[in-house]
Amino acid sequence: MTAQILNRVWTQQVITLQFLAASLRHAWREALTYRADVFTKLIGYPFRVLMAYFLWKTLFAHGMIEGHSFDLVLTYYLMVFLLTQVFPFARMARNIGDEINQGGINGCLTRGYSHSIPWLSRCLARAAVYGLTIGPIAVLVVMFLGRVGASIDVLLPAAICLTLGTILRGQLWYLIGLTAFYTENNIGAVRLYAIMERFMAGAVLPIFLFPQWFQQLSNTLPFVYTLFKPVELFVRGGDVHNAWVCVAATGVWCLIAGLAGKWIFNLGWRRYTSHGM
Amino acid sequence: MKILGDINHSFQSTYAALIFSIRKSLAYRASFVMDTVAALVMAMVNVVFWQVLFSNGKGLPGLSLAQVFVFLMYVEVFFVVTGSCFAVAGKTWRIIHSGKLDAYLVRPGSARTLLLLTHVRLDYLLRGLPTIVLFGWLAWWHNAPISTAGLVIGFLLSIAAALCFALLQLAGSWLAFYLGRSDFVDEFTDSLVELIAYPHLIFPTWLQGVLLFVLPFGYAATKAQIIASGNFTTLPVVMAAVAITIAGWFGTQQLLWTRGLRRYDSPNP
Repeated sequence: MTAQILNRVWTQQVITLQFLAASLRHAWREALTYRADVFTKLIGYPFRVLMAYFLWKTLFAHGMIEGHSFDLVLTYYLMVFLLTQVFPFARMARNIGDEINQGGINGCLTRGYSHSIPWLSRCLARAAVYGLTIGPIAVLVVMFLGRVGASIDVLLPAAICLTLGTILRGQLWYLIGLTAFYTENNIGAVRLYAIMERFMAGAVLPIFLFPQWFQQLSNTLPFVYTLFKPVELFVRGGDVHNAWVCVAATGVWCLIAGLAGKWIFNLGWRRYTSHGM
Repeated sequence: MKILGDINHSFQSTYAALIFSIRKSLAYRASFVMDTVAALVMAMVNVVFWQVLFSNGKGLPGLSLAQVFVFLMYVEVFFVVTGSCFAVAGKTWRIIHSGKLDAYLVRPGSARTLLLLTHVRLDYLLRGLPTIVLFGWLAWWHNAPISTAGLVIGFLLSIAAALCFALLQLAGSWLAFYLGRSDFVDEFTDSLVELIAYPHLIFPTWLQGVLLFVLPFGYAATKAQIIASGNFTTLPVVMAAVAITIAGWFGTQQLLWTRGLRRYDSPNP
């Protein structure tokens, strides 16, 4: 009996891994084929940088920001604006909502793999294409216009933290997509979360500019690990031990978000009905 | 008589679109409530952003925190008018590309007017109003210098800017007659709204000029806020900018539409 259960679990895992590999191959080809779609969102980047440049230049010129340098803040925004374009997570959440609302999720549920795998694959493939093409240009832009304060030994944990942080962002957005199980139309949840995420992840203002109590509160939430912490590691550096603690914390949040996703999916699935599919 | 019939048809279409948007909001109540909360949260984020920047007691030259709230109120007016009345302006390229423009061309009245009127969204207006009131209240609470006439002119300027931006987006959309899929143009015109987010006092003079006389963002909120404070010295220049930008973008979209329509063909039988 035990052997049968183990065999079944093993078969399930093998199917899942095979499907993940196939999904990754497909998503990679998709991202390479529809290159314009990958880069279209970058059109707004120069405008955002322009606004940030003039705003912060004025703020520093009038002594409104103390204890930080203009280079540091500009580099921070240069990186954050690029990272927020890695994958259209909000669109993903809307699409998941449509899958649930219109019954498209049925196709996935009749097979033996997790619903999140195709989305994870698309995110990883697109992030890889983005990183390989935009990455070198981004490095040049940041080196030319900004200033990276991280030492060599912090770069590795910073890069890992950035990768895990992007996956965590995807997992949290996946949870928002699943709210369609409860609200049918999830556009309100998507908009609400988009604003909260931008603020709490430090995309509106770097968290280090906030009062101490807010920084402490942020550290207890997962959002800072999606953008602020990895970018801060690159921009401000710090000691290696802290960087690895950041990596560990991001990993733990990924695990929690993954389990929460599975739990919420199962709860939603119990409420789900489909007719005529 | 034909004109009266066209007006009646446009009125009925707008009414149907308004009823549809209300029914949609009522059907997806939870989503609508969250959407409204999202707009308020966004407003709070903006408030915190500026509070943090003004927290050390120093300010921007010629701009107090109270005036920032007036500025943000006009930004919100611009977005509410754009979202509720001209939401489809930047997306009409999809209607051209998919051949659905036929449905508008064969109906009585102007196809472009019908396109805009049948996509009016009352829900967007409803969810934006609390935010406008919030910023107005914050400005009043912080004793912002406001003159009644200036306040009204400011509102009109924001509405004019939204109209001009819609014309700009329509001009971008009509490029679909020539380019086919126009995601890039759509994304480009959408991303221009980034230029309204902060007061234009932070920009060099030449850029302020571009944003006033080429794009409508100069008078959408920055000049609107200055005039609302009772400073009418720039009003003639601003009125000239409004006339130039609206005439310019109306002419551009008119040219692209009339010439593009001659090239239009659809796969529909």
